[in-house]
Amino acid sequence: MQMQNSTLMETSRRASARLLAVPGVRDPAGGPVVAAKAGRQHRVAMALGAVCLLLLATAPAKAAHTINPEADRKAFQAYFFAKFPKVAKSDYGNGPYAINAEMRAQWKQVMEFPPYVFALDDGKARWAKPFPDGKHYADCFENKGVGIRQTYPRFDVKTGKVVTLEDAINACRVEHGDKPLKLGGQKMASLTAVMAHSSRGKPFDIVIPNDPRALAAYEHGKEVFYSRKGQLGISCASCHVLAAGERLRGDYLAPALGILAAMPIYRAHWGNMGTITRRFTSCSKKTRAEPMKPDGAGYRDLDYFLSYMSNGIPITGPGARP
Amino acid sequence: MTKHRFAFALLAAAALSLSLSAYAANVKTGTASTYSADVKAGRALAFNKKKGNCIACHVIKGAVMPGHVARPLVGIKKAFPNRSTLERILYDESLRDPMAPMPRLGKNHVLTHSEIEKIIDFLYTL
Repeated sequence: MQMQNSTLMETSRRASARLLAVPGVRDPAGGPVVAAKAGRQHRVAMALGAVCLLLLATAPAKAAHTINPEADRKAFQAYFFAKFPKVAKSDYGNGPYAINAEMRAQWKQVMEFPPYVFALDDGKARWAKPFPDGKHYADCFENKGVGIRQTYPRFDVKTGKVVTLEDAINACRVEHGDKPLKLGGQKMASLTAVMAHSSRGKPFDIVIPNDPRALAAYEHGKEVFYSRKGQLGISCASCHVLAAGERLRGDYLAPALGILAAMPIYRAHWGNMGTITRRFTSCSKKTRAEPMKPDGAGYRDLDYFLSYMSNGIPITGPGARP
Repeated sequence: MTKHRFAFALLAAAALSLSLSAYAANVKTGTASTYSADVKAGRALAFNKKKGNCIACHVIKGAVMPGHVARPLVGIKKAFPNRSTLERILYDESLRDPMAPMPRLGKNHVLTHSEIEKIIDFLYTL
């Protein structure tokens, strides 16, 4: 079992090395070797020089690579489908429960009385309560907010910024004379639980318009996802791509694909609900990285990138996790 | 006079090399009691969540609910006969493998140099 795991790790590492390779970056070790050889033979030096010049000339073109979210998404999903050939695409929203038989057995017991029902009931009451001006949450969203969670985050052409589901709920509150909620708080989790619940089974359908600002936000989110940070010096991808499905102490690491489909989640470890913002903040702290601003562009764009990567994966939220 | 000075220098050099080799031998093996104390301290550091926290990702004999993100820590002396390889892995594994999810324990000051040495003493008993 252990042997299999380590072989799997090796294979997946190599696969990810290809997947995550940064265009335009060449092995720096090539330099000195090239120079030594050049010293020996003048003709070889000339030829090598020409090749180097050619490489230098093409480097800037490579560095300014085109942002292609759709190609990224296909490669991202193909990586997980190859890593977990037995897991159905529609099952990725179930996180660790989809990839581990032992966990799945526990999950069935948990789901007999799902721990998020209290949040759902609380959310329904909040959803029905009118704002000071008599309007409701339902007035802020198309289809009265029912079955639309899979379309968030969205890109707002007016502001040029990404709007997450949590942002949209707060915008609605402010528009109708109420105060914004804490993005990582229980009240927010109750409300997103209601919206997720009515959208269960609907596949993520995130749109990145052909607008340089939207593409820049996507690229920023991607950078946040793959950058090593914090005292441990690891990235989101270190755990949720490379080590997805492996056990980190007692917890199985959820695959990044579909990870947001289950949000918000009740975590036994927390003893209550967590929104996407809370999940990101908690992950930052665990890797001993300075958490980003809850309402800043970092988490917002990360949400945009991750949700887009999960296009086609059905919503399962609200979820329950250990 | 010159001869005398030369002889003195030679003597000093010999004494220095003797004491150095004695120091090196001491560092390498230590006395039996300090070595076993280092192994014990190394084990504690490897199991400590705020320090090495090796068991988050590696199976180690005696650990409760260890993770299995990376290779189980067995047969370390055979797999890494060169101590400096282990030192480098614990310092910053991404130097060897840029994709490795292994934390940069030495580089980012999670562990000091002497703590890394103690952990290696412990790992060599596995």
